[in-house]
Amino acid sequence: MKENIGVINMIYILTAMYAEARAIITHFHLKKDISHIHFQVFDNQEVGIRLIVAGIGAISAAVAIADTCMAAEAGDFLVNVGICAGIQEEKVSEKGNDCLAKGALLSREPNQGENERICRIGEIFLCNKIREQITGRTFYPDILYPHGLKEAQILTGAAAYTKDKKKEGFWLYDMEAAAVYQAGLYYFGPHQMSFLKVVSDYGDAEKVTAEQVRELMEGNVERIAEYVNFLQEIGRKEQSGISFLEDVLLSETEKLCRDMHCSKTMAAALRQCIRYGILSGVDIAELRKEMYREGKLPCKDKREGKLCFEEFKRRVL
Amino acid sequence: MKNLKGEYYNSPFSHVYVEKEVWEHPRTKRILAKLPDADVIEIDHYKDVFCRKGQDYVLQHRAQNLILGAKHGTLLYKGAPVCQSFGNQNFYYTSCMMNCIFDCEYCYLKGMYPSGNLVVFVNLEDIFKEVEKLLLKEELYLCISYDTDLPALEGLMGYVQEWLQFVEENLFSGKKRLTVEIRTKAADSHFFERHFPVPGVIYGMTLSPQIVIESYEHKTPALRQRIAWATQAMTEGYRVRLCFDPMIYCKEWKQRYSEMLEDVFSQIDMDKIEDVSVGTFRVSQDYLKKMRRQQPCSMVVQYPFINDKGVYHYPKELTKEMEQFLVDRLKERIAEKKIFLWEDEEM
Repeated sequence: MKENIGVINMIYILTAMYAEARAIITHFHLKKDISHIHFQVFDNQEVGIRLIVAGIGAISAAVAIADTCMAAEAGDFLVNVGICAGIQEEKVSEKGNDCLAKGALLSREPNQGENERICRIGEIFLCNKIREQITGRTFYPDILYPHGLKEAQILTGAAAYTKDKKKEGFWLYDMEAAAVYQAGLYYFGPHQMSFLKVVSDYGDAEKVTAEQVRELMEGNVERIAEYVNFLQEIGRKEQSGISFLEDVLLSETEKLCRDMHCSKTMAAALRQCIRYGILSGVDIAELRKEMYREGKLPCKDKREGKLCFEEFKRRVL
Repeated sequence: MKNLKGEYYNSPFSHVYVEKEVWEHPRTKRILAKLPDADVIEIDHYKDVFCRKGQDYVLQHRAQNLILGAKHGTLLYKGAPVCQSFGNQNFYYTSCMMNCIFDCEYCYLKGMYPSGNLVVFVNLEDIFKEVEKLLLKEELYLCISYDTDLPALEGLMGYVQEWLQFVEENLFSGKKRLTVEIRTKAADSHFFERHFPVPGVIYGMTLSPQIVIESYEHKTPALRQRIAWATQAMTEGYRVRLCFDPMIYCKEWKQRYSEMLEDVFSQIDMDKIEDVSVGTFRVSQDYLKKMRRQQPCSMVVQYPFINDKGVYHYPKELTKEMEQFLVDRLKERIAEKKIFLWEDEEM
């Protein structure tokens, strides 16, 4: 269960390095949660954000998600934020240049010239296709919401990107996205996971300093925050009606099950009937009180309970 | 940056996933030409996107994306027992598309498919070949708009047009008789400008009371539009079937269905109707379980149905009362032999 955060949905932000996280920590006033042993975790329960610094690579990402996202619910989101390499300085192939295919697809003409850069250092992308290089498996996070960011496809490898690596028609390269997707799938659906990547280099990651990473992230923190805030709003909107319904359902089912001496099967049928009643505008609490006033509730045994349930159902329908 | 607060969901088909295999297919090119702003993403197989684990059908449907692929394996299926065959012997259906742009809360597709995205199989020619093969042996009654609504997507896909041409060509080919049913809730009046009546094609227009349309059949045309479409279709020589299936329960169902029939009878020449089908809502238990989980606040799927050998339906007395009511009213205006009640099939 969530810890004292009321109806606010939780956005789990996962970064590999602290340098990628710092600007976000500052922006959302996140505080370090010292109860976590293996990973640095930063929280702000009031705004519903938890940031996890997982470490570099697939295994770190998977373990960090398993360690921190167990309590994720419908309406929560996992956002993988971090730097990546830009794959560039190659002639853009017709097929591989999927995202640029808008408009250009039919003419089959590449719309970027040779040696032209597809992505700039510091540019942020939302990933719509992730391929795990080692297995060749490809994953597709849902892009359901308007976001205003450029979209791209990312290749996830086990080691840092160098220019001699196979590019497979992808624009971006990182070391975590595919693992985040696969581990995240235990707790989130494809519609709940997003991958925001900022280009830090073109295959010479060893030259990128922590300070440069911090600056790149600071340059994009407003866009990241806007995206995260929007997810928060979406989650709240989606869940608000459902939480109210489930609360009423739970309390009414408990009372009526007890007083009708329901078996497991009958309890399920009663629960369904109450749910329908609530949705169709029947005041279930009032109906229950009415049946108390008429002496039909509480029932003395299961047999009487069964008859009472039939009567209750008739009134609801 | 777009205004993030302006809209909650992407517009339909903002993303198109295209199988490598059909990348160069003329239908792929034709469809993509009509979606110049879409992000096009190459995929290996349609199931890589359509059958992902943990998808949310309802959310996806709000920002529905398009998947273009090729259908292989079985292309024609024997009609399911819960479907009305209208007395036809060789009853088959085919799925050249999976899912629908309309959003009916009670639709079984929400329980059947793992994804709310729309799949379009562009290798229609393979389905045609399969139909031709069967027609060498036997007559065929084929439903082509079961797991979708082809006319609703006609502007983008043009599949109705292609089927019409195929059926018409078959008429003069000396093969066995082919009858095609196109089930729809679409009511585009421009349809008649671009299409032509073909004797072997029946349009099954699904009608519901306006309150049911407003409450549960989201994004679909109003009752008056559907009636107007059916009227014009018959005037222009199309064969039209009226489908009062599924009938949906609401507290004032008798009054609502009476009002609907009054509208129908006052505008549609019932003598010219091909036939009508009647049936209350029924769905398999596996589908309903999923539909309920995905739509916890939907009154129509949360009704406490009766489970009868794996099929959920309204209580028997209510089912009988609703169907009988409609059949009795229809009998006043149309010959009994033209009224098909789903229960008849079961018995």
